[in-house]
Amino acid sequence: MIMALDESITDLTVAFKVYLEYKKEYIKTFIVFLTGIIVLVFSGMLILRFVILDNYFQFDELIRSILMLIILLILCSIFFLLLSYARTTFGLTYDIMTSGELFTEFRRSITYFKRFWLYFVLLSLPYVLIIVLDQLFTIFILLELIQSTEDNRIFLVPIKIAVYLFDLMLYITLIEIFPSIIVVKKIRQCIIENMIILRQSLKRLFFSVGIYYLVFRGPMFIVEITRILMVTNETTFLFFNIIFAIFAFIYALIGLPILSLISTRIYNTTILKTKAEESESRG
Amino acid sequence: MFYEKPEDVDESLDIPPKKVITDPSVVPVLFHKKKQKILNLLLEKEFNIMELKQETNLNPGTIKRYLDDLVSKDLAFLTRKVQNEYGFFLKYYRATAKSFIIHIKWPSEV
Repeated sequence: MIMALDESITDLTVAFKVYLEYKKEYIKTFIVFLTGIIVLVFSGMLILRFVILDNYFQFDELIRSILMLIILLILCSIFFLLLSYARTTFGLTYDIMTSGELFTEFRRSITYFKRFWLYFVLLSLPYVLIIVLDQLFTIFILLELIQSTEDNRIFLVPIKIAVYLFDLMLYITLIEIFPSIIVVKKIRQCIIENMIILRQSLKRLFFSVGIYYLVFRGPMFIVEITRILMVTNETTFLFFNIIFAIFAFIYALIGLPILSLISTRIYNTTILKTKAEESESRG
Repeated sequence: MFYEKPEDVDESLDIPPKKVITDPSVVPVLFHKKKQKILNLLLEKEFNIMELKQETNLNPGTIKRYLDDLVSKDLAFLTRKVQNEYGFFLKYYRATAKSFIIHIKWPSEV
Protein backbone atom coordinates (compact mmCIF):
# COMPACT_ATOMS: atom_id res chain seq x y z
CA MET A 1 0.00 0.00 0.00
CA ILE A 2 2.76 2.46 1.05
CA MET A 3 4.84 1.49 -1.99
CA ALA A 4 1.89 2.13 -4.33
CA LEU A 5 1.31 5.51 -2.69
CA ASP A 6 5.00 6.42 -3.05
CA GLU A 7 4.89 5.43 -6.73
CA SER A 8 1.75 7.52 -7.20
CA ILE A 9 3.37 10.57 -5.63
CA THR A 10 6.31 10.11 -8.03
CA ASP A 11 3.86 9.73 -10.94
CA LEU A 12 2.19 13.02 -10.06
CA THR A 13 5.43 14.91 -9.32
CA VAL A 14 7.08 13.78 -12.55
CA ALA A 15 3.91 14.61 -14.51
CA PHE A 16 3.75 18.17 -13.14
CA LYS A 17 7.46 18.81 -13.72
CA VAL A 18 7.40 17.43 -17.26
CA TYR A 19 4.28 19.47 -18.03
CA LEU A 20 6.07 22.64 -16.91
CA GLU A 21 9.10 21.80 -19.04
CA TYR A 22 7.09 21.07 -22.20
CA LYS A 23 4.09 23.35 -21.53
CA LYS A 24 4.48 25.33 -24.77
CA GLU A 25 3.64 22.37 -26.98
CA TYR A 26 0.66 21.36 -24.82
CA ILE A 27 -0.64 24.96 -24.69
CA LYS A 28 -0.45 25.28 -28.49
CA THR A 29 -2.46 22.06 -28.81
CA PHE A 30 -4.99 23.44 -26.32
CA ILE A 31 -5.29 26.72 -28.28
CA VAL A 32 -6.19 24.78 -31.44
CA PHE A 33 -8.76 22.79 -29.43
CA LEU A 34 -10.21 25.93 -27.81
CA THR A 35 -10.40 27.76 -31.15
CA GLY A 36 -12.20 24.76 -32.63
CA ILE A 37 -14.73 24.70 -29.78
CA ILE A 38 -15.38 28.47 -29.99
CA VAL A 39 -15.80 28.34 -33.78
CA LEU A 40 -18.08 25.30 -33.43
CA VAL A 41 -20.29 26.93 -30.78
CA PHE A 42 -20.66 30.25 -32.63
CA SER A 43 -21.11 28.75 -36.07
CA GLY A 44 -23.60 26.26 -34.62
CA MET A 45 -25.59 29.03 -32.99
CA LEU A 46 -25.54 31.13 -36.16
CA ILE A 47 -26.61 28.28 -38.41
CA LEU A 48 -29.41 27.22 -36.08
CA ARG A 49 -30.52 30.81 -35.61
CA PHE A 50 -30.60 31.90 -39.25
CA VAL A 51 -31.28 28.73 -41.20
CA ILE A 52 -33.55 26.74 -38.94
CA LEU A 53 -35.24 28.85 -36.30
CA ASP A 54 -35.64 32.08 -38.26
CA ASN A 55 -38.50 32.51 -40.67
CA TYR A 56 -36.19 34.04 -43.24
CA PHE A 57 -36.04 30.72 -45.11
CA GLN A 58 -39.52 29.42 -45.79
CA PHE A 59 -39.24 25.67 -45.14
CA ASP A 60 -42.15 23.43 -44.34
CA GLU A 61 -41.96 21.72 -40.94
CA LEU A 62 -40.69 18.34 -42.17
CA ILE A 63 -37.78 19.83 -44.12
CA ARG A 64 -37.02 22.12 -41.20
CA SER A 65 -36.83 19.10 -38.83
CA ILE A 66 -34.65 17.08 -41.23
CA LEU A 67 -32.31 20.04 -41.71
CA MET A 68 -32.13 20.53 -37.96
CA LEU A 69 -31.22 16.87 -37.48
CA ILE A 70 -28.54 16.96 -40.20
CA ILE A 71 -26.99 20.13 -38.78
CA LEU A 72 -27.01 18.73 -35.25
CA LEU A 73 -25.37 15.51 -36.49
CA ILE A 74 -22.65 17.48 -38.28
CA LEU A 75 -22.05 19.67 -35.22
CA CYS A 76 -21.89 16.58 -32.95
CA SER A 77 -19.40 14.86 -35.30
CA ILE A 78 -17.17 17.95 -35.29
CA PHE A 79 -17.47 18.08 -31.49
CA PHE A 80 -16.36 14.44 -31.23
CA LEU A 81 -13.46 15.13 -33.60
CA LEU A 82 -12.37 18.08 -31.47
CA LEU A 83 -12.47 15.94 -28.33
CA SER A 84 -10.49 13.34 -30.23
CA TYR A 85 -7.95 16.06 -31.13
CA ALA A 86 -7.60 16.86 -27.39
CA ARG A 87 -6.44 13.26 -26.91
CA THR A 88 -3.41 13.90 -29.14
CA THR A 89 -1.71 15.05 -25.91
CA PHE A 90 -1.14 11.31 -25.40
CA GLY A 91 0.83 11.35 -28.67
CA LEU A 92 2.93 14.31 -27.57
CA THR A 93 3.58 12.55 -24.26
CA TYR A 94 4.58 9.41 -26.17
CA ASP A 95 7.19 11.49 -28.03
CA ILE A 96 8.59 12.82 -24.76
CA MET A 97 8.50 9.73 -22.57
CA THR A 98 8.41 6.65 -24.77
CA SER A 99 9.93 7.34 -28.19
CA GLY A 100 13.39 7.88 -26.72
CA GLU A 101 13.77 11.29 -28.39
CA LEU A 102 12.75 13.19 -25.20
CA PHE A 103 11.06 16.05 -27.00
CA THR A 104 8.00 16.90 -29.03
CA GLU A 105 6.72 19.63 -31.31
CA PHE A 106 3.22 21.06 -31.59
CA ARG A 107 2.83 19.96 -35.23
CA ARG A 108 3.17 16.34 -34.07
CA SER A 109 -0.35 16.70 -32.61
CA ILE A 110 -1.64 17.05 -36.20
CA THR A 111 0.30 13.94 -37.20
CA TYR A 112 -1.18 11.98 -34.28
CA PHE A 113 -4.65 13.28 -35.09
CA LYS A 114 -4.37 12.12 -38.72
CA ARG A 115 -3.08 8.72 -37.58
CA PHE A 116 -5.28 8.01 -34.56
CA TRP A 117 -8.47 10.13 -34.82
CA LEU A 118 -10.77 7.15 -35.21
CA TYR A 119 -9.16 5.26 -32.33
CA PHE A 120 -9.42 8.35 -30.12
CA VAL A 121 -13.08 8.86 -31.04
CA LEU A 122 -13.95 5.21 -30.29
CA LEU A 123 -11.92 4.94 -27.09
CA SER A 124 -13.15 8.30 -25.74
CA LEU A 125 -16.81 7.34 -26.25
CA PRO A 126 -17.46 6.11 -22.66
CA TYR A 127 -15.96 9.31 -21.18
CA VAL A 128 -17.61 11.67 -23.64
CA LEU A 129 -21.04 10.06 -23.49
CA ILE A 130 -21.22 10.15 -19.71
CA ILE A 131 -20.22 13.85 -19.63
CA VAL A 132 -22.47 14.92 -22.52
CA LEU A 133 -25.52 12.99 -21.29
CA ASP A 134 -24.98 14.17 -17.71
CA GLN A 135 -24.63 17.81 -18.78
CA LEU A 136 -27.65 17.71 -21.10
CA PHE A 137 -29.72 16.09 -18.32
CA THR A 138 -28.59 18.63 -15.69
CA ILE A 139 -29.16 21.64 -17.95
CA PHE A 140 -32.58 20.34 -18.98
CA ILE A 141 -33.66 19.75 -15.34
CA LEU A 142 -32.29 23.13 -14.20
CA LEU A 143 -34.11 24.98 -16.98
CA GLU A 144 -37.30 23.14 -16.01
CA LEU A 145 -36.77 24.06 -12.36
CA ILE A 146 -36.28 27.76 -13.19
CA GLN A 147 -39.66 27.80 -14.90
CA SER A 148 -41.60 25.65 -12.43
CA THR A 149 -42.99 26.68 -9.06
CA GLU A 150 -42.06 23.40 -7.36
CA ASP A 151 -38.46 23.04 -6.20
CA ASN A 152 -37.32 19.47 -5.62
CA ARG A 153 -33.81 19.80 -7.05
CA ILE A 154 -32.13 17.98 -4.16
CA PHE A 155 -32.72 14.65 -5.96
CA LEU A 156 -30.07 15.76 -8.48
CA VAL A 157 -27.26 15.69 -5.87
CA PRO A 158 -27.08 11.89 -5.38
CA ILE A 159 -27.36 11.47 -9.18
CA LYS A 160 -24.41 13.83 -9.61
CA ILE A 161 -22.36 11.97 -6.99
CA ALA A 162 -23.12 8.65 -8.72
CA VAL A 163 -22.14 10.08 -12.12
CA TYR A 164 -18.82 11.37 -10.78
CA LEU A 165 -18.06 8.08 -9.02
CA PHE A 166 -18.81 6.17 -12.23
CA ASP A 167 -16.62 8.61 -14.17
CA LEU A 168 -13.78 8.10 -11.66
CA MET A 169 -14.16 4.33 -12.04
CA LEU A 170 -13.89 4.73 -15.83
CA TYR A 171 -10.74 6.79 -15.39
CA ILE A 172 -9.11 4.18 -13.15
CA THR A 173 -10.11 1.14 -15.17
CA LEU A 174 -9.71 2.37 -18.74
CA ILE A 175 -7.17 5.18 -18.86
CA GLU A 176 -4.23 2.95 -19.88
CA ILE A 177 -5.84 2.24 -23.27
CA PHE A 178 -4.63 5.64 -24.50
CA PRO A 179 -0.85 5.29 -24.03
CA SER A 180 -1.21 1.70 -25.18
CA ILE A 181 -3.06 2.44 -28.46
CA ILE A 182 -0.22 4.70 -29.60
CA VAL A 183 2.27 1.88 -29.14
CA VAL A 184 0.26 -1.17 -30.27
CA LYS A 185 -2.15 0.51 -32.76
CA LYS A 186 -4.82 -2.20 -32.24
CA ILE A 187 -7.92 -1.72 -30.10
CA ARG A 188 -8.10 -5.34 -28.94
CA GLN A 189 -4.44 -5.38 -27.95
CA CYS A 190 -4.67 -2.08 -26.08
CA ILE A 191 -7.66 -3.34 -24.07
CA ILE A 192 -5.67 -6.48 -23.16
CA GLU A 193 -2.69 -4.36 -22.06
CA ASN A 194 -5.03 -2.11 -20.07
CA MET A 195 -6.35 -5.18 -18.23
CA ILE A 196 -2.82 -6.43 -17.53
CA ILE A 197 -1.88 -3.07 -15.97
CA LEU A 198 -5.11 -3.03 -14.02
CA ARG A 199 -4.29 -6.45 -12.56
CA GLN A 200 -0.63 -5.61 -11.86
CA SER A 201 -0.93 -2.05 -10.57
CA LEU A 202 -4.48 -1.50 -9.38
CA LYS A 203 -3.41 0.26 -6.15
CA ARG A 204 -1.02 2.56 -8.00
CA LEU A 205 -3.68 3.39 -10.58
CA PHE A 206 -6.19 3.98 -7.82
CA PHE A 207 -3.95 6.45 -5.97
CA SER A 208 -2.42 8.21 -9.01
CA VAL A 209 -5.65 8.64 -10.96
CA GLY A 210 -7.67 9.17 -7.76
CA ILE A 211 -5.49 12.07 -6.55
CA TYR A 212 -5.42 13.46 -10.08
CA TYR A 213 -9.22 13.25 -10.22
CA LEU A 214 -9.59 15.03 -6.87
CA VAL A 215 -7.32 17.86 -8.03
CA PHE A 216 -8.76 18.40 -11.51
CA ARG A 217 -12.30 17.07 -11.46
CA GLY A 218 -12.99 17.90 -7.78
CA PRO A 219 -13.45 21.65 -8.40
CA MET A 220 -15.78 20.84 -11.32
CA PHE A 221 -17.82 18.61 -9.03
CA ILE A 222 -18.10 21.40 -6.42
CA VAL A 223 -19.22 23.87 -9.09
CA GLU A 224 -21.77 21.33 -10.33
CA ILE A 225 -23.26 20.80 -6.87
CA THR A 226 -23.31 24.57 -6.23
CA ARG A 227 -24.95 25.07 -9.60
CA ILE A 228 -27.66 22.55 -8.77
CA LEU A 229 -28.36 24.13 -5.37
CA MET A 230 -28.02 27.81 -6.25
CA VAL A 231 -29.54 28.26 -9.71
CA THR A 232 -32.76 30.15 -9.27
CA ASN A 233 -33.07 32.22 -12.42
CA GLU A 234 -31.58 32.60 -15.87
CA THR A 235 -28.81 34.94 -14.68
CA THR A 236 -27.49 32.52 -12.04
CA PHE A 237 -27.89 29.69 -14.57
CA LEU A 238 -25.68 31.56 -17.05
CA PHE A 239 -23.19 32.55 -14.32
CA PHE A 240 -22.68 28.98 -13.08
CA ASN A 241 -22.43 27.63 -16.61
CA ILE A 242 -19.66 30.13 -17.37
CA ILE A 243 -17.82 29.14 -14.15
CA PHE A 244 -18.22 25.47 -15.10
CA ALA A 245 -16.91 26.16 -18.62
CA ILE A 246 -13.84 27.92 -17.17
CA PHE A 247 -13.03 24.88 -15.00
CA ALA A 248 -13.63 22.60 -17.98
CA PHE A 249 -11.11 24.58 -20.03
CA ILE A 250 -8.57 24.53 -17.18
CA TYR A 251 -9.06 20.78 -17.15
CA ALA A 252 -8.37 20.61 -20.91
CA LEU A 253 -5.36 22.94 -20.64
CA ILE A 254 -3.55 21.35 -17.68
CA GLY A 255 -5.54 18.30 -16.64
CA LEU A 256 -5.45 16.34 -19.89
CA PRO A 257 -1.68 16.68 -20.45
CA ILE A 258 -1.04 15.75 -16.81
CA LEU A 259 -3.32 12.72 -17.19
CA SER A 260 -1.45 11.66 -20.32
CA LEU A 261 1.87 12.00 -18.46
CA ILE A 262 0.68 10.01 -15.44
CA SER A 263 -0.82 7.19 -17.50
CA THR A 264 2.13 7.03 -19.91
CA ARG A 265 4.56 6.78 -16.97
CA ILE A 266 2.52 3.93 -15.51
CA TYR A 267 2.41 2.26 -18.95
CA ASN A 268 6.17 2.68 -19.46
CA THR A 269 7.08 1.30 -16.04
CA THR A 270 4.80 -1.72 -16.27
CA ILE A 271 4.11 -3.02 -19.79
CA LEU A 272 7.08 -1.52 -21.66
CA LYS A 273 9.53 -2.27 -18.85
CA THR A 274 8.44 -5.91 -18.90
CA LYS A 275 8.72 -6.02 -22.71
CA ALA A 276 12.21 -4.45 -22.58
CA GLU A 277 13.35 -6.95 -19.91
CA GLU A 278 11.96 -9.87 -21.91
CA SER A 279 13.73 -8.79 -25.10
CA GLU A 280 16.96 -8.24 -23.12
CA SER A 281 16.77 -11.71 -21.57
CA ARG A 282 16.25 -13.17 -25.07
CA GLY A 283 19.46 -11.37 -26.08
CA MET B 1 16.64 15.58 -14.59
CA PHE B 2 14.26 13.44 -16.67
CA TYR B 3 16.90 12.56 -19.21
CA GLU B 4 19.46 11.35 -16.70
CA LYS B 5 21.28 8.21 -17.76
CA PRO B 6 20.35 5.02 -15.92
CA GLU B 7 23.21 4.08 -13.59
CA ASP B 8 24.03 0.82 -15.37
CA VAL B 9 24.70 2.39 -18.79
CA ASP B 10 28.17 1.52 -20.03
CA GLU B 11 29.60 4.53 -21.84
CA SER B 12 32.84 2.88 -22.95
CA LEU B 13 31.41 1.75 -26.28
CA ASP B 14 34.25 1.04 -28.66
CA ILE B 15 34.12 2.37 -32.23
CA PRO B 16 36.60 1.90 -35.11
CA PRO B 17 39.50 4.42 -35.19
CA LYS B 18 38.72 5.48 -38.77
CA LYS B 19 36.26 5.13 -41.57
CA VAL B 20 36.82 5.79 -45.24
CA ILE B 21 34.08 7.69 -47.04
CA THR B 22 33.67 6.93 -50.72
CA ASP B 23 30.11 8.11 -51.23
CA PRO B 24 30.07 11.74 -52.54
CA SER B 25 26.59 12.39 -51.05
CA VAL B 26 28.08 12.04 -47.54
CA VAL B 27 30.51 14.96 -48.02
CA PRO B 28 27.99 17.85 -47.69
CA VAL B 29 26.61 16.26 -44.52
CA LEU B 30 30.08 15.85 -43.06
CA PHE B 31 31.03 19.46 -43.82
CA HIS B 32 27.81 21.00 -42.57
CA LYS B 33 28.95 23.20 -39.65
CA LYS B 34 26.19 22.30 -37.18
CA LYS B 35 26.15 18.62 -38.08
CA GLN B 36 29.90 18.64 -37.57
CA LYS B 37 29.36 20.15 -34.13
CA ILE B 38 27.08 17.26 -33.22
CA LEU B 39 29.33 14.64 -34.79
CA ASN B 40 32.31 16.06 -32.91
CA LEU B 41 30.55 15.36 -29.63
CA LEU B 42 29.51 11.88 -30.77
CA LEU B 43 33.16 11.03 -31.52
CA GLU B 44 33.88 11.24 -27.78
CA LYS B 45 30.94 9.40 -26.24
CA GLU B 46 27.26 8.63 -26.70
CA PHE B 47 24.64 11.33 -26.21
CA ASN B 48 20.88 11.61 -26.20
CA ILE B 49 19.06 14.51 -27.88
CA MET B 50 18.56 16.56 -24.70
CA GLU B 51 22.22 16.21 -23.73
CA LEU B 52 23.16 17.36 -27.25
CA LYS B 53 20.79 20.29 -26.81
CA GLN B 54 22.61 21.32 -23.64
CA GLU B 55 25.99 21.06 -25.37
CA THR B 56 25.09 22.77 -28.64
CA ASN B 57 22.20 25.12 -27.75
CA LEU B 58 20.41 23.91 -30.87
CA ASN B 59 16.67 23.22 -30.97
CA PRO B 60 15.89 19.53 -30.22
CA GLY B 61 13.84 19.28 -33.43
CA THR B 62 16.83 20.51 -35.44
CA ILE B 63 19.14 18.10 -33.61
CA LYS B 64 16.78 15.23 -34.39
CA ARG B 65 16.76 16.10 -38.11
CA TYR B 66 20.56 16.43 -38.15
CA LEU B 67 20.92 13.13 -36.33
CA ASP B 68 18.60 11.46 -38.84
CA ASP B 69 20.87 12.79 -41.62
CA LEU B 70 24.00 11.58 -39.86
CA VAL B 71 22.46 8.15 -39.26
CA SER B 72 21.18 7.84 -42.85
CA LYS B 73 24.67 8.62 -44.15
CA ASP B 74 26.17 6.10 -41.74
CA LEU B 75 28.18 8.72 -39.87
CA ALA B 76 26.35 8.04 -36.59
CA PHE B 77 24.24 5.22 -35.21
CA LEU B 78 21.73 4.49 -32.49
CA THR B 79 23.66 2.71 -29.76
CA ARG B 80 20.85 1.85 -27.34
CA LYS B 81 17.40 2.68 -26.07
CA VAL B 82 17.24 2.46 -22.28
CA GLN B 83 14.73 3.32 -19.60
CA ASN B 84 15.69 5.51 -16.63
CA GLU B 85 14.27 5.63 -13.11
CA TYR B 86 11.64 8.23 -14.11
CA GLY B 87 10.15 5.83 -16.64
CA PHE B 88 11.54 7.75 -19.63
CA PHE B 89 13.03 5.92 -22.58
CA LEU B 90 16.27 7.46 -23.87
CA LYS B 91 17.88 6.90 -27.25
CA TYR B 92 21.66 7.26 -27.38
CA TYR B 93 23.69 8.06 -30.47
CA ARG B 94 27.40 7.68 -31.25
CA ALA B 95 29.63 8.35 -34.25
CA THR B 96 30.41 5.31 -36.41
CA ALA B 97 34.17 6.00 -36.17
CA LYS B 98 36.65 8.19 -34.31
CA SER B 99 37.74 9.88 -37.55
CA PHE B 100 36.57 10.03 -41.16
CA ILE B 101 38.76 9.97 -44.24
CA ILE B 102 37.31 11.12 -47.52
CA HIS B 103 38.47 9.10 -50.50
CA ILE B 104 36.63 10.14 -53.61
CA LYS B 105 37.78 9.94 -57.21
CA TRP B 106 36.06 12.03 -59.84
CA PRO B 107 34.91 11.10 -62.38
CA SER B 108 34.55 7.75 -60.62
CA GLU B 109 34.62 5.55 -63.76
CA VAL B 110 38.02 6.83 -65.04
